[in-house]
Amino acid sequence: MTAVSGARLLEVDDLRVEFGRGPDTAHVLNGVGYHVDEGETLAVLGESGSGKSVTAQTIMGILDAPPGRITGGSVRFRGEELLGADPERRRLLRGESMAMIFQDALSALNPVYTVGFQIAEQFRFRRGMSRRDAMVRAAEMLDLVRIPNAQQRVKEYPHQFSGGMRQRAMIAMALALDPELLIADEPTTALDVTVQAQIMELLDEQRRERGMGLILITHDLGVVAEVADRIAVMYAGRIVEHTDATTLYAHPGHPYTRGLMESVPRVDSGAGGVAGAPLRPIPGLPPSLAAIPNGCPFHPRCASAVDVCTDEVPPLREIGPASATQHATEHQAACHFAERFAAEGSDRPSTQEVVSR
Amino acid sequence: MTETAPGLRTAGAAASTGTGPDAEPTGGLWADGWDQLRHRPLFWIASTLIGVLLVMALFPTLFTSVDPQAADLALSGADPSPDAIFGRDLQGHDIYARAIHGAAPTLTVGLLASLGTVVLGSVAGLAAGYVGGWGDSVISRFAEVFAGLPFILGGIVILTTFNKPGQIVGEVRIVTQVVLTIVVLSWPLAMRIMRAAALEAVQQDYVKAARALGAGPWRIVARHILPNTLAPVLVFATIQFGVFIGAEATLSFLGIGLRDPVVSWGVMISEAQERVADIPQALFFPAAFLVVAVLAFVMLGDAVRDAFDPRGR
Repeated sequence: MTAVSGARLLEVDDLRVEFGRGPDTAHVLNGVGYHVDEGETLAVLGESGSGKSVTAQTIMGILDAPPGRITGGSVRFRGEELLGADPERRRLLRGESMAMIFQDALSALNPVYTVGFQIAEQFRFRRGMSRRDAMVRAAEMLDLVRIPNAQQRVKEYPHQFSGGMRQRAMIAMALALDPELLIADEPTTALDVTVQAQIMELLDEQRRERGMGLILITHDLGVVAEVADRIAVMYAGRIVEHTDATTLYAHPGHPYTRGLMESVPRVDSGAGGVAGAPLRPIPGLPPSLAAIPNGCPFHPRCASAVDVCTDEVPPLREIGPASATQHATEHQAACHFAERFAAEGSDRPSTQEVVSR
Repeated sequence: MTETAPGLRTAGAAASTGTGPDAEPTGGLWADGWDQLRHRPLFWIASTLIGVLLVMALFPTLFTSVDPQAADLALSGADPSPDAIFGRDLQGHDIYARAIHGAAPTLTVGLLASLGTVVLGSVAGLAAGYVGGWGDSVISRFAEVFAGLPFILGGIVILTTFNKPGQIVGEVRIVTQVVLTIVVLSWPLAMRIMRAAALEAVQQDYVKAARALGAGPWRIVARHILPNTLAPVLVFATIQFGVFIGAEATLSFLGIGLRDPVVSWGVMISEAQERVADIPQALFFPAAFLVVAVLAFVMLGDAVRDAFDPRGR
């Protein structure tokens, strides 16, 4: 699980994005920062509307503007500032250096072209290959993502593929030009559980073989536990906690992270014997992004909120290794009482197993 | 649109392999549409009528060997007879021969006007839908100026500016003028349809995915948006074909559209109006041809729309 820390691939710093104008302006991103190194997997975790996808689209440069507006921050790819860079330069980076796959592969594939044609497009337009050569390469790509009978399937249309196959085809499309960074926006959400595992395995394997950085956007804790080197938890357009997977599961430092874990049903009755434990959903709804609460944005839903939480925005700060047994890794959380929560550990003893399994 | 053609070919394959887990249509937009069309009697009736009209326009001599311009004043207003089965008009022309020869100019105007409207409207609509923002506003407001002109008034103003009523003009010139007049006054309709479809397509994930993989704006518009927006515009064009044939007849009837020496059904109706009581056949037969032609195209358009517009199902 420990990444061979390569060079810094992507750095996002204090990214701010707004949607709309006037009093209804939605503050979608409020200073998001994370980084991805070569060959590592960063998982971005959060509820719908927490800004995970908007961050990804801003990195890719495909944010719809208007209505979106980038009001601050920076995105650096291998040290090169992307925000404000020449649009043509950014376009050439897309596909070649960074690529993205989407949640619903059926709608992300054009219904009027064959799957092979859409993969071959990359080779034809970016590598100047002939139609015939590009189709051969497209079949190779389908084979690479383990689509059986690739020679035949390459001539079929997206609607003739099953859900898992479509996502594989989408991955083949994204990997065609061998990008250094792959952003997977909820790649398994639309799939059933057995297929989910296969797709995650495929992504993880491709990451290892190519040494590319992977940003995995998800709201599924189970998916994250197995493949992520580091996890960034997002809430209301901010990173509220950031650490490696082991630490996060054992010592969540933010009440929101803890809430996320407690709202996942468990069916395994291992040593911890937590199967059948009651679910504790997080009360309330995520805040409207046009009216984010003062102070800590999570305080209206937080059981431990006190006065300081409504007055002061807790910055994302280093809280240090939670216990002596942990190897010293960075662990940041945006809560006034993060150290206390982290020291308490998770009240679900078996979470450690999720990681070590 | 060579890229969309394979969709039609897979209709059979998709149906036989039955890849879909449920009963939803699996052939894609074009294949499903064709499948729907094949089972509609309306489509076949309309197609047959249009086929006959096309043959009439392309090879009028198959139907008659009489020169439509041959006039014999001695036979003015003659009743139908084996010699001239529809009778003769005021000038002694054979009405049957003229009606047959009238198909070509009529259909030419309909075809060119539909084509022009669709091309101009689609380009403007695609630009408006893809660019969005102020570009969309400028194009939409500009289109509203033209959409606001009443068709007849606009037609009279434009055509009388170029020609005096009754003035004799060359065939090519008057056909071009009539076509351009119709296009100028009708393109906003096609533009609105294309704009709506493009706005919808731009939001689709496959457009976003294409952008995420580094496709440039031209490739996105040409390869990803256009093929997915074409169906509603083509349906519109088919229906408008019939409407434009009627529009041509209207302009001709007013004496500002096609005119002698061009023979079209509108021209024939226009010439017949003064002596309707004496020579009713001169009005009846071209009008019947006109009604059948307009009906055929509107019927075809209806059938195509039913097949391609999922909301109508």
